[in-house]
Amino acid sequence: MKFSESWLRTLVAPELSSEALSHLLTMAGLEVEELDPVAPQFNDVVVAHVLEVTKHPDADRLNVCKVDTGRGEPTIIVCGAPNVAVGLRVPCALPGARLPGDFVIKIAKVRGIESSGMLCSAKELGIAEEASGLLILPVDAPVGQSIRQYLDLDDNLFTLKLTPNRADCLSLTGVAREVGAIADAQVKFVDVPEVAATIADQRQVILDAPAACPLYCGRIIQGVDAKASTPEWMKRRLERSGIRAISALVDVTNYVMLELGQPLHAFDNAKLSGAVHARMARPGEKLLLLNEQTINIDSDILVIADDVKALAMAGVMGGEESSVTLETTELLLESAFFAPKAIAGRARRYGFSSDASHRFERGVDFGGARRAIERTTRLILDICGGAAGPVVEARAEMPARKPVRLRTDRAAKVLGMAIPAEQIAKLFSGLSLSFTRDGDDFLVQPPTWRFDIEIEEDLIEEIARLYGYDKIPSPAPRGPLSMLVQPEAQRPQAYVRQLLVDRGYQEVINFAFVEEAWEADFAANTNLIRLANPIASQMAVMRSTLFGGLISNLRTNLNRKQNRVRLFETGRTFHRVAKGYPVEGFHQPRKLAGLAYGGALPGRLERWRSQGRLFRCKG
Amino acid sequence: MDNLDQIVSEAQSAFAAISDPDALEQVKARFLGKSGQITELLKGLGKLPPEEKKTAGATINRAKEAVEIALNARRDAIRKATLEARLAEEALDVTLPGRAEARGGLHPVTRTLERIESLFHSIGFEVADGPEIETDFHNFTALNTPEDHPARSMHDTFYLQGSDGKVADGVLLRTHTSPIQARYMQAHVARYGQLEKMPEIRIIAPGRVYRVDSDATHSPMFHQVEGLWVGEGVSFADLKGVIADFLRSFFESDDLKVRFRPSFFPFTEPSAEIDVAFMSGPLEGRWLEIAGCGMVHPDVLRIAGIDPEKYTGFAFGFGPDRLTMLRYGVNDLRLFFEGDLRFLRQFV
Repeated sequence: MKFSESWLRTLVAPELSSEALSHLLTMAGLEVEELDPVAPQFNDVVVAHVLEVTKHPDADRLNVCKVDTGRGEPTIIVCGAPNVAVGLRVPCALPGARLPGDFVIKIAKVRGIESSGMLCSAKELGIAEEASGLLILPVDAPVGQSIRQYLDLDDNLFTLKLTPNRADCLSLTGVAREVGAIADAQVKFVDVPEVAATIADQRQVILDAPAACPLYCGRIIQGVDAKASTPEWMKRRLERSGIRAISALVDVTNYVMLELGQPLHAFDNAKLSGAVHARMARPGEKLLLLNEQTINIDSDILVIADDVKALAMAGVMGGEESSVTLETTELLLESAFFAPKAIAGRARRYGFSSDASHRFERGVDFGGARRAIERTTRLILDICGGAAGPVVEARAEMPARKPVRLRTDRAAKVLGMAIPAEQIAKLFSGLSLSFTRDGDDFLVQPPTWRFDIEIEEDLIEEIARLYGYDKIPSPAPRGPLSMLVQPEAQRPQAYVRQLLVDRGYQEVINFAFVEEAWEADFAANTNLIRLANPIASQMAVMRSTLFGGLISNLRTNLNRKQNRVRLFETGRTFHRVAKGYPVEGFHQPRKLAGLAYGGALPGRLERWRSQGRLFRCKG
Repeated sequence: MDNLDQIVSEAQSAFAAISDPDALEQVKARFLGKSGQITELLKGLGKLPPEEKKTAGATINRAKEAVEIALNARRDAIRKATLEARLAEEALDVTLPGRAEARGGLHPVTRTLERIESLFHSIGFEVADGPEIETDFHNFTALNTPEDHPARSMHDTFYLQGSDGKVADGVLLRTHTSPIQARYMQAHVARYGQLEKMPEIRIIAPGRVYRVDSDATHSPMFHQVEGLWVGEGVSFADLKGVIADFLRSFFESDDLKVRFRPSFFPFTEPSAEIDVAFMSGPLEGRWLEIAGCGMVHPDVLRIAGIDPEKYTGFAFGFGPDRLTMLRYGVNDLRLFFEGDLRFLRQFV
């Protein structure tokens, strides 16, 4: 999960520096993997308007430009960029500006003409790796405004490494809610008023597989302009979340997914016929996906279909045929809840993953589907125009959210320290967990966005995490003492290894999967144990002898001018057997093997005296 | 008495021809022995007339003396020659190059594993072990990770091919050492389950594990060490205490910060990730993730037949390869598995 700090701060604004916020998130279990500024440090770069461009009299590739930097009289700047042209708005570094790489702009003569500044490319500002010319800004960019302010460059990118149980934090709203709880700050959730229907168009929704899809909201929007351009602020937020802006309709659905956590889909309504069905795939059904992959849909896959055919792999990826294009004028918006079990592993089976499947297989807030469709409608109407029909909501039985009991004394037993009930109550409230009290017991109602609160221990973790793992003491371990017996008849492995080390052998550790040929050459093994998914063909078979590895080590070392080699390895070998213990069909004994090559003793004197004996191995 | 001079010169030349001390004594007998030539002559004195006895006796005795002188001279010469030969033979030239004793070494990761085992052994942890081709049940299901659980995608699992060429059902290469927990707890319950109070479980389980991954910090085969302590009243605070003690002992340094931060594993709840930061050295101040741990999930205890209301426990898993890299400053994991003596000998 990647997002821009300034976007997060529109929802929750704790009085914390970026670093302090990052530390707090990490220590609450939302590990901040990276925290990077959007742009490196630079100053005195403003939006400039190019008024005149004339060829430099003494240089073929230079132009002399008259630009308005919003500071009184226009200034003269000599510019070498190929795309400079009259009327453009571009970033301009004023004299005194310090650009990334400690590059200071001064008034200087360029081939005899005085230049008071520099027009900049994105690369020169350190906000792009490559640039082919000046960074061209929208025509409405306010002349004279600081470029940092205009492009919101005083912003940081947070990258969270979320654990699979915290799907609720796969959105800005989720992260904001969490920050509110851990930093004790007020959260301003996005205000989503209902969008009243202005047309009557609607499609019936039929839930044929209610366990897999218990909730589906659909809404038709007519008369949209799919070619409308996405507003800059939205593009910027998408891009800072690692999502490429594509077209207004796609961008809006992605934006709402990031904002609220609800994956959405837009169908081209003109390409649909009849009702919308959420059903399991039928035998032999095929679907061309948006990633241009045609799949045979397995029967355990939930699809969204119309009366005729499957349109999309539900919660995973839309179909190419029913997708919106720049020509689309009417939409069917989908905001649904798909059960994690119905989505899990399906995308992986076909060799891809998607933002939607990533969220649905971990659990999406089923209390938020309606809100998300309203939000999406509002944004589409604002950006692409059009008129919306009513929301058609089909609902079956939603996932159970059984109340979970927490005993304060049990929490103390598990954590090894007592946290008072009053404090627990406060921590739960901070997380918007609603509860009732029964003495020192709490009966907690897990919210619709949390899929990881099922048992008492889950609540104990919430308490410990918010209280702070670092505040739990770490006393010296205590426990009953009883002696550990090493039976005299057994030799510990360490003893056997030391024996060989004392006799001059160096231990090696080799991979347990080997080349198929080694098994034939060193063990005459034809009953191979093959890997189904080896990383390389020379690592495809489980070894039944340690010799292959040792001989390969010998070759490695001889190639590196080691003339005397003594090696050993201890490790398991693997054999197919009819009856096996403890894993049926496999015998996995521990083996020891050694290899000796070269003189009996190291050193020059001895080399001619004793010829190396070949292999003295035991196994 | 011409014959006496002859005997003397005969004896002298006979002695001179001999270099062996034993042979010399035998030759001596020919002249001075009980029936030696000189002895015979002395015996013959009795037969001579009294006036001749005196002169003859003196002459023979002179001859005898001459033979004895020759004999002793030869004895000395031989002794000296033997000594010289021995001295020559045993001469030691200390300036010759040394003759190295062959010396082997343990693999650096083995050193780490043995060190971890012995540290935990010192507070009563027993070493446990388990199979590397593992059942799906023990690797995942018994650890509260059912089919299609998103946590399964965190593990890129190696599967085996069945005899029909398809992916074999129910078996895999273990992706962690945690299945040893599950197996050990089951065995423990089978042995002590009927007792009013089960003895504690305290085990440390090192081993090789497998995941589909390969680069400078990932190897398709690597090591893990699993630890487990289950008993009455074992708490998260105890987990923190044990781990902190272990890390300071392992790195032989108090100059070390340890932090626990919330994380997620299907088989523990609450779960934590353990980070360390060194206060000096090349990695100064950086938090490094080195282990995962947590309180054993009640479902995992239940699957093993242990009552989670009565017993609680914690489990942890370290990456000994990473600990070895940190301790010895190795920066490429792959070096451990290439068998290059020039690399491995540095850890002797």
